[in-house]
Amino acid sequence: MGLKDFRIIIKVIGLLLMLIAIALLVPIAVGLFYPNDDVGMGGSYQTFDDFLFASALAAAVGAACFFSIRKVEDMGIKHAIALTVLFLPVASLFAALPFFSSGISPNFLDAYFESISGWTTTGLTTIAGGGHGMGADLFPHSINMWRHLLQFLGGISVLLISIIVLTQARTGSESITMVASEFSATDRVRPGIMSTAKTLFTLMLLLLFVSAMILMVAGMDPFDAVTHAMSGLATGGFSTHGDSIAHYDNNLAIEIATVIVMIIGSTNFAVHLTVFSGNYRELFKNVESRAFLILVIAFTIGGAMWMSTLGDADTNEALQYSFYHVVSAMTTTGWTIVPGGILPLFFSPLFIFMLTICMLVGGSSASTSGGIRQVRVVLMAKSLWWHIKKSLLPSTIVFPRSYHHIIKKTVTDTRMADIYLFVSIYLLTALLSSAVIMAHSDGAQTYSVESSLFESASALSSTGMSTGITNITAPVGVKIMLMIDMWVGRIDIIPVLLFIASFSRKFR
Amino acid sequence: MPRRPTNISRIARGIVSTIGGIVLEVAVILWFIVLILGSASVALFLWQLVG
Repeated sequence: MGLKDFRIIIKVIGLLLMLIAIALLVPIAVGLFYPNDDVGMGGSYQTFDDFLFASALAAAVGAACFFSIRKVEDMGIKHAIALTVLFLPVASLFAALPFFSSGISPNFLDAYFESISGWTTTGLTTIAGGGHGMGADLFPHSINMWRHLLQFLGGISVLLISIIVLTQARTGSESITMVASEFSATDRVRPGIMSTAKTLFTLMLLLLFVSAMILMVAGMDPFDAVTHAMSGLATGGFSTHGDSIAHYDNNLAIEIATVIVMIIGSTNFAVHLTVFSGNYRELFKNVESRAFLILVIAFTIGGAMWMSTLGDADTNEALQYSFYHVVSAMTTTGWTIVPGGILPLFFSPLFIFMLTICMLVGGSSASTSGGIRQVRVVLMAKSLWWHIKKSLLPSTIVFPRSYHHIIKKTVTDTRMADIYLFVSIYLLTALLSSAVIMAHSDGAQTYSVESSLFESASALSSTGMSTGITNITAPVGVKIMLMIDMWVGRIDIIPVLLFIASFSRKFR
Repeated sequence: MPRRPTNISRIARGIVSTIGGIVLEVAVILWFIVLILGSASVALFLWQLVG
């Protein structure tokens, strides 16, 4: 990467900033709709100018970037990777402005944290949590709308990034390309960027409408239904309430409705398209829906057994809490039905550890969820079986190494090697970042092994469940580490390494 | 000669298949939930019977 290469990146980021400027106008409209927003720190008339200022600034900077650069070369692989890596922190900078200028966040770091957490569809928050009647409960509607809109846009952008950029960037790690190209198995998604974007956008809007309807039928008020549909579909996990879904006092209808929305969001979008084009069987045959079902059953039973025998919960309660949190972690959403949202106060270290594994496994490929992704986990499990077969069967027998995803796909050795490379880098990152968090222990605050691992896995897989480490008083180092986790985890780590390596003279 | 489908019938078919898809997906997810909770409660029952 030379300086020359940055021209096209800056130009494209300029274009995207102008789109963000338009998105920043939406909360203004919402604010006008709720003129009596006298809750908490500011009324809508106060956030009005915050959003207007942020929008104007984003538009001005975006236009300056876009129009000042005229001559650009063609978009190459390294440009696409650099764009993927740089877009998120730059966009979050502008998206964070309203949180800071409206006084919701006491300093810019926490506003930036909230914004990155939104864009990456994580849902960790330092300012909006805190339990019943705290945090997000006090925010004006416009701010809450912006937080959830951020997650929705983040969900769409991560889909676009994983499907368009990483599929085009063929030289990227093959395991990433594979996950991204899971999407291209249907003929409904044409290779053209604009038509892919249009199909995705339409599908997301349609699913948003359906999800909002489901939540409204379950008993949420319209504003909550729309905002929760946005964050649930993006498997984000922000909520308009300080104690997340626990706000609804174990309302069974709402819990089931949110589970449905989470599962819709974490389903492969190629599967959605296949179902909509009439192939209903795919839902039962798909490798990832099967994996999801089996894993959720296993972890739910495991968690509920422990809670009902050694904990003091009765059977139904154990089942309810175990199931909800396993789904929330596996889809990497991060909603919780525990009052206050601080899990270790309610759950044993064993269940916390099980949730950590669920988060690391994550949802489907080509969905809005994060984590290692189920297709990789299934292939790793299958590769063990293939290895046994290869070792014990006579060497003359050739057996297919394939899995079902819309069509039958075969797996090569290079592909498997790339998957293992990705998974080891992913786990290493989780371990290293939890070490960094542990290193911030001092007399006032100690960070245990399991909660540090939980928190970094939560940030890395863009889940957003918290053991309480993420709060306003956390050390700056911890906050920055979690922000880096969210950022690199969202774009599957390897593009960041490629971006850094591309500055080396070897690759000029 | 068969008539080519008009735009309206194509749109109508698209809408029907989309709504069908959504209804089916939600139904399948509900079925997943029933399956998960059912098998989990059976397992729990057996677990408590043993313990």
